Amino acid sequence: MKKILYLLAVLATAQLSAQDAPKKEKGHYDTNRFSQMYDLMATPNGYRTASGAPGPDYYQQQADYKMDIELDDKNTKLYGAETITYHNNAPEDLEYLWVQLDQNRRSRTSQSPLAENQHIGKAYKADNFSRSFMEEGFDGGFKIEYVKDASGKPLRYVVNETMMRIDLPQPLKSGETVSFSIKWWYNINNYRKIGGRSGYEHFDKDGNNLYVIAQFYPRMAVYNDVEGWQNMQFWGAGEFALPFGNFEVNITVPADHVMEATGELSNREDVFTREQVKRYEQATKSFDKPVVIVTQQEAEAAEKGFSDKKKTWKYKAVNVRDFAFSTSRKFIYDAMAVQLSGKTAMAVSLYPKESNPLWGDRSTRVVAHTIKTYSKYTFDYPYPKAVSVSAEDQGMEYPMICWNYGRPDANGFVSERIKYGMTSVIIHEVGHNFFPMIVNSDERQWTWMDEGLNTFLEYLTEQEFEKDYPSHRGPAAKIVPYMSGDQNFLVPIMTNSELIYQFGSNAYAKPATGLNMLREVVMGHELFDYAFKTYANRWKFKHPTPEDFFRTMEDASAVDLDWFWRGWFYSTDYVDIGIEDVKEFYVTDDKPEGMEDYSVRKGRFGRDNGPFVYMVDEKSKKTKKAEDIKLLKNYIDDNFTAAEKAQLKKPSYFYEVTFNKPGDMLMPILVRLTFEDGTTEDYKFPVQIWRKNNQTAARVFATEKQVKKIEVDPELLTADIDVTNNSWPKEEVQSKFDQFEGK
Amino acid sequence: MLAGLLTAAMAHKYYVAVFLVEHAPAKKQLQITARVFVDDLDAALSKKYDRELYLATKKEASGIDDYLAAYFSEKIKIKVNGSEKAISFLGHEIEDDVLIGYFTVEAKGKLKDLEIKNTLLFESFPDQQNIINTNINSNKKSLLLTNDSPTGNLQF
Repeated sequence: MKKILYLLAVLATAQLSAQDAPKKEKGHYDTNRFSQMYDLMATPNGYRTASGAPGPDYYQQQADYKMDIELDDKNTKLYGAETITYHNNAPEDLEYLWVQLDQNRRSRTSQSPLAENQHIGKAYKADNFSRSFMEEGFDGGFKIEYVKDASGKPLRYVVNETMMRIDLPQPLKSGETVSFSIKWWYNINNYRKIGGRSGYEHFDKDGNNLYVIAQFYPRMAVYNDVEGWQNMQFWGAGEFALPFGNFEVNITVPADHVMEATGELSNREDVFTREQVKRYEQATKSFDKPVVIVTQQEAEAAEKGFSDKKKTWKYKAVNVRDFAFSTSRKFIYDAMAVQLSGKTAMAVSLYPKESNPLWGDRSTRVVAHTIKTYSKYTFDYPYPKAVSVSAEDQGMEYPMICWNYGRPDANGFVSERIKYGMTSVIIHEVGHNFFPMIVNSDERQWTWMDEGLNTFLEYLTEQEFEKDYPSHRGPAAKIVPYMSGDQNFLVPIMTNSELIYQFGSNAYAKPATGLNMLREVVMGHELFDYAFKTYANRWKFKHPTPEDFFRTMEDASAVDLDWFWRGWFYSTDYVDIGIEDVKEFYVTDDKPEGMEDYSVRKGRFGRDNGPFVYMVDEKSKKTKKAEDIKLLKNYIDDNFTAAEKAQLKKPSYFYEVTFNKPGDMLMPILVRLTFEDGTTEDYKFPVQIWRKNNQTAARVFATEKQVKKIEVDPELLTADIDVTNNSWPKEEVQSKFDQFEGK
Repeated sequence: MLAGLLTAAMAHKYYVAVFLVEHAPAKKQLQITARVFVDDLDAALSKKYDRELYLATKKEASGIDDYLAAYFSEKIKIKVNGSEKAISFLGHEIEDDVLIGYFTVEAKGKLKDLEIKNTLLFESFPDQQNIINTNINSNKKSLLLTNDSPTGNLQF
């Protein structure tokens, strides 16, 4: 044996030296798309473990707020004073604190508009021209009156756009607490004219404003083990990163306003009539339908009043990351109780008469359905209430309260689009209570972590709300137009919030669809739901990172998903799996030409020279049904009992199918065989079929009936962007255009 | 926040329409599908014609395809090998919140040069982006047309 090897080596060398310049292949790094994610994921540590759970050293900061707020309705100004108590739970000391001043995005010196590209329009309406070229613009932004320490001494601070650094006289030691006070005011924006996630809507007919107030106070930035201070500026796309804390907030508004806010109202008797308090008590016991607490009649009377008197509403909120409120004379108010598995919560809606009857019929019921359904997939909704406020053009979330669009038009008409749009936006924004209000991810960095997960649960919640609910996002087939778009306009999901092209598709639809495909195709409901729930429970009231999510989904399921995260979240790869070739084979015991000397290895040293059952690729007189081949028949007679024989398959048709993969995204192969009699058989080959060869894979199908058609992904579950290569024999797939023309 | 669902202009809504242009040499035409958010288009058309059209609702104005044909023809200008060709609008379908418009443009012989000006919705939404995907002579190329650069040119 050694001699032969030596001879071969000499021959090979001789051959090589005969060539002029021997071509040497270059080596390469691991390019397999199953590679484990060590190259892209952060290294686990004591703060965040390799299992995806908070580690033994995990900490988070806490910021508690006591605030007195007053609304000047006539002049649309908001005045506030707050005392922030900041707990440094980090193991290190802090020399300074960063506070977020989100309103400064609208200040006259804001950099935000300067960072936008501009161009001349062909024609302008007079108001638009005036606003664009003549007016100084809205005077927004926080007007800070003071920043003081606990003893009333001024603290040094520096404002850098939407961030304010407070310089501490001495470092805040690990484990210690500091209190300081800020007083401020600002002009509230009319969000329907100049945009914004908060502000007011003006009703010309009756002269009233409907306020949806948020980002209204200087808010602590997040300090943690992954970002240090999260003080990336607020440019407009990347939303918020906020620490948890407890709030006591007193809000003074005109006496004829009706309000809702984050937290529990502690002076209900002072702000509602005795009759309204009684109705509220009824609502806390009404689990099947909402109870109207402030009626349309009462709201219509109030909106004519313009009271000069004031009332103060007092709220307390425990363990929330933010605070928001909504107030107006125009509000109708209804509520119902929601039974969760271990507790009850209130579902509440506030809306002006312009929103009825749509809102009275629908909003609170949708809120109740949403917190029930989300609780099932995550954890019992921990807050005492969830409020949906009717605010035109809005869709924005805060703890316990959110603003939602969708009203009948001026003629009272409600299209299906508005009805389902309003329902979906309520599900979505109420759903945000779970992600990111409780599972508190960093939106400034990663929009998808809350929007993607929330859009996924929104889809499940819509489908459970009504059979065949027209969901826009979730099913795999709906992401195909986006995934098949030009690569120049695609970025990975793992892209910072400010840098995303096609925001809605990238940060909402694609991650939601990815999770839906994991659930439907890769993991199955049971493994997926358990892992998803584990992530939600591990990170509720904490601050997770993308890796914490990716790792938990694997850790709780024993499904290696590195290939999925790599392809779907870290790249713009798309799914395209096709059938490259199908070879049909038949069985014979007649030795085919060229097989005369064929033998197979037998044991370690022997060879078996047959006879064999032969597979031939052409049907002839000599091909038989497997059961008619004597050699096989004898074997079966010798080795199986009559009962066992009855269980054996009787294959007559053999197909070797080669699959190819023009798309780089890996995916299990879903195959459907359709037989001559119209019956079908479905197969699913796990994604690992691609593990040593990412480009092609082959499978053999042995069937009793002749196969008429073979299809890949017949139910469009994998977001395969090109279905023209999905069937054998090749079917002419009509383009969208041809289908339309053919109608 | 919500994305892509709003009914009127807002600072943080994302306006994107996607067009697919394919060459059908046998039919001597370009076949074009336009995917546009219904609510954006409804708002733009209602503004342009100064009446509520209730696009894709049961109260939809009659002859809606005439409005769409006129609007698409006004906003999309296509030059095939240097000469401008008229758009012939075939009709539309609704898929979820998206209107799919179908139209053709004459394109005889080999297609070498394609110029597309697409200002659809630009007058209503300054941030509107129109993405043009093309599949011509088995070549996939794309354009991103915005208010800043509403015209693009592709060579095949």
